[in-house]
Amino acid sequence: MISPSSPTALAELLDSHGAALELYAAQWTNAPADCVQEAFVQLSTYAQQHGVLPTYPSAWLYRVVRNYALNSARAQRRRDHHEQIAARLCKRDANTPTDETEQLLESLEALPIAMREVVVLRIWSGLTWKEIGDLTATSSSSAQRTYASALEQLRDKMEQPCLPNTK
Amino acid sequence: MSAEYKMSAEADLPKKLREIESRLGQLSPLPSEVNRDMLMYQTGWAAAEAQFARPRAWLWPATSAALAACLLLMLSAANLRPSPTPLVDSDTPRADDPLMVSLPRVPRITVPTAKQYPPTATLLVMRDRALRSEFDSLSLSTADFAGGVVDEARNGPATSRELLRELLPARPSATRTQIDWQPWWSRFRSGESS
Repeated sequence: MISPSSPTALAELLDSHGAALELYAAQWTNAPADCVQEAFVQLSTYAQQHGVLPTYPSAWLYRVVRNYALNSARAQRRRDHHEQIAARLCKRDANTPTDETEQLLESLEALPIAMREVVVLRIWSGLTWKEIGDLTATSSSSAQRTYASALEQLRDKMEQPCLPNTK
Repeated sequence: MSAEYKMSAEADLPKKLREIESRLGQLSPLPSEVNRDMLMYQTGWAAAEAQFARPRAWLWPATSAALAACLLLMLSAANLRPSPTPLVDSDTPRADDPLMVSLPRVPRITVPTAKQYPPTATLLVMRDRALRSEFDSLSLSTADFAGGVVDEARNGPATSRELLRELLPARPSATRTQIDWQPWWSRFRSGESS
């Protein structure tokens, strides 16, 4: 159990989950950093009030960030937030994204929100299937099926042949 | 990609799906845009606020409980308290009261009765009754004032002349002098002068 009184505990959580939390919040809002910041402030308040951190602080943070992002999206009524997903992902060993990577990101953005959420959580958050199921209000097996179908859609879009030039 | 994710790599996923998964895993999110120092400051501030807000959470319930306990205690004490005993049982002291025994006996003052006054002397009757302490007690009802003593005083003398006539002893009234006018008249007609 991480001591709630030590600021290093929050700093470690920020270092390990900050980027993924922002990527997760960017699915709904165009101000993901604000959502992550509010979530950490709420975590500090929670720890001070209860004397301990939540049992699973990372899962707790993802849930709070999700709530903040959904509220922010409802307030902003923005529909272009999903474009930030591509802007927030980059290939580790390449500074400029290749065509294949751009196609993969476009396919990811085109996924339905429920599928994209499970993919983001599974690939970049490090949460277990049970935690992902709790977060998305489904069972772990349902989350796995959603994940598999999302990967199938990505593969189909990646393998979709280009339309012939009619000109 | 976490170690747990690698360990639980879906064995049931087809090879093509695992290939897509690995390609996604090669991507990494950009570093966080959160201002670390500002975040640490805000979390510390929030923790301090929560720490100072904690006593207020029990302050008012504790105050209400203490007040309710005091109220219940006072009500129970009021119900269990015996009825107050009177300080004086009776107005007249007992004969065997040591205080009364030690006091010297005062000779009783005899007050003349009202029968000694004429019935028309209402003020004297009233004075007599006052001397006999008939008006000292507060048991006089409005009927007494309406039809008793007040009526007697109301039927008394209305003027000072009547009061003097009532209080002063009656003097014999002067007899009227009878003047015989006949000899004077006859002498007047005859022209005699006195």
